[in-house]
Amino acid sequence: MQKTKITVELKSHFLRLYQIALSDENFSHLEMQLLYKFAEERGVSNLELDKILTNPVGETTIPESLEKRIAYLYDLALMIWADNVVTIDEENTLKKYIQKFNFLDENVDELCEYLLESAKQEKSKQTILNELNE
Amino acid sequence: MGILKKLVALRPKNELKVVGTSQTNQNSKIDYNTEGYETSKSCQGREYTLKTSLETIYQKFENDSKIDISNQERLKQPYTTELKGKTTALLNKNEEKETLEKEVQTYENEIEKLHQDTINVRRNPNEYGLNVDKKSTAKFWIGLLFLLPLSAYILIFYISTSYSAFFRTFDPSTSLFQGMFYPKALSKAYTDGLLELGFVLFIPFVFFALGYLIHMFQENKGLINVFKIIALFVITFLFDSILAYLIDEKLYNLNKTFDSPEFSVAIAFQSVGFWLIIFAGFVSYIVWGLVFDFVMKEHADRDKIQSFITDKLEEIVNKEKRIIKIKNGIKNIQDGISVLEKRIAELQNIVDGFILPIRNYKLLSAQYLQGWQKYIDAELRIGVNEKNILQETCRGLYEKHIKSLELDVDDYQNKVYTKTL
Repeated sequence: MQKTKITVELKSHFLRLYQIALSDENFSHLEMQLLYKFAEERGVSNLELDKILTNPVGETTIPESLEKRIAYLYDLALMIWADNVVTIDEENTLKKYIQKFNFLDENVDELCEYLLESAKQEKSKQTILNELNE
Repeated sequence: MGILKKLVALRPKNELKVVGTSQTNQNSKIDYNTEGYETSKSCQGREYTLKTSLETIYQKFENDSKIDISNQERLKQPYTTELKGKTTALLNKNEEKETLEKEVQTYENEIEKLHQDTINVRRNPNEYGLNVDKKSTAKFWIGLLFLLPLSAYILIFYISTSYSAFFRTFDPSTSLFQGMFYPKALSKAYTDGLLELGFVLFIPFVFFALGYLIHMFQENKGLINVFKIIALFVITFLFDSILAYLIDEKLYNLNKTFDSPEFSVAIAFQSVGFWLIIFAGFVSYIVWGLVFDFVMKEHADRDKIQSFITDKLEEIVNKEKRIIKIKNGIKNIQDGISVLEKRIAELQNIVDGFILPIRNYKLLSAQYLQGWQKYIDAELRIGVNEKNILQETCRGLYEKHIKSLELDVDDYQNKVYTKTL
């Protein structure tokens, strides 16, 4: 695996994913697998991911570009669907992040629903990004 | 425009959400400062009242912190997250431990079965694919019991017979039995010479070797082996016949008269002595060969069972070694579990308890003191010296109060009150 430098932004993303996975009180192995899959997709080794998760100290940032924000939020939605159950806690956490990512308050619920629905339909990230540019 | 595109409008960058904490802090600063000022005014800045007031505002601060659930949740967030992480880790560890324990159980069952096998194989060797007689041990020992005296007999018989046949000079008093068996064969052979002694000593081994060869040929099936065995029997028989012929001839010649014909094969065949020697030698030789063959076969069976048991014991040792390794692994996991459980209990107590943001209190109480002293400075009408002394006393009281809360030395932000029973 090619070694990539882990930016604060990426680290924040993994911590958010971890938070989402934990928010339903049950960190299932499916969620764990997905987390490691996301890490692999971004060239982060398992060891590095473990390091991030066990040492979550430091600032967290949100991504700059709109595409990245949507991509990251979609990852969160996929993580919520990893165990095939969407709990209220998970939904609220996702909404919290949508707000934190600076989307308009009035759109939060709808955007959350859209992301979860897309994740349920197992749309690819590329499809979501294409829809963004339609 | 796609649905998503409609939803993704962002807030302008400068429009940040009001968090609300700075405003609250500002208000509380004014409040405590004013409160300090007002209380000081009402009691003329008296130090005893300051002491009581500080204690009161500490209690109030503590109570407020307790009932401010949302703030408590925020303060407990790191502990809650850690607790969830540790709980998951504990679940994983327990699962891992269970898997290993099951593995140990499987190995233990296998070992138990192997032990049973080592015991049962003697009773029912056929069950284990060993085509052997289960009474082979007893048969082996009984066979050996016969084989040893038979060997001794053959040794004695051939030593004495061969000596009689090849070296002995007969005299007229020699009977048939004495002709065949000569008690002094060994000592006579020794007196005759070393070669004679060697000859009579080693000739029985020719027969033993022939018997051994018969056993070896019998192990392999096939027509050639049958011929070989027949040939061996014939050779032994001939050899015995020659010995018998020689002895019988010597005896015959002693009793020969002028009328008697020359000793020949035909005469030998009619002589009882000739046949007696053959039977005493050849038959006992055949019996020896059969017993030897039988003993060897039983020994092989015993070997099969023994090697089966040895294999199983080796397997047991290997499995036991593996169990020890797994048990060490379990112990390590158990240690990990204990550490996790301890930490989880601690975290649970913290989450169940409450967290006092004690640094905030230092700020508030300082503001209170500030208000208190402000009154003394600005409005209290006493002499400068008295004023200074009072200020000093109030300051001292405040520091004592802070010290009693250990806020003077520690630089931690929060004080954690764990749940106690």
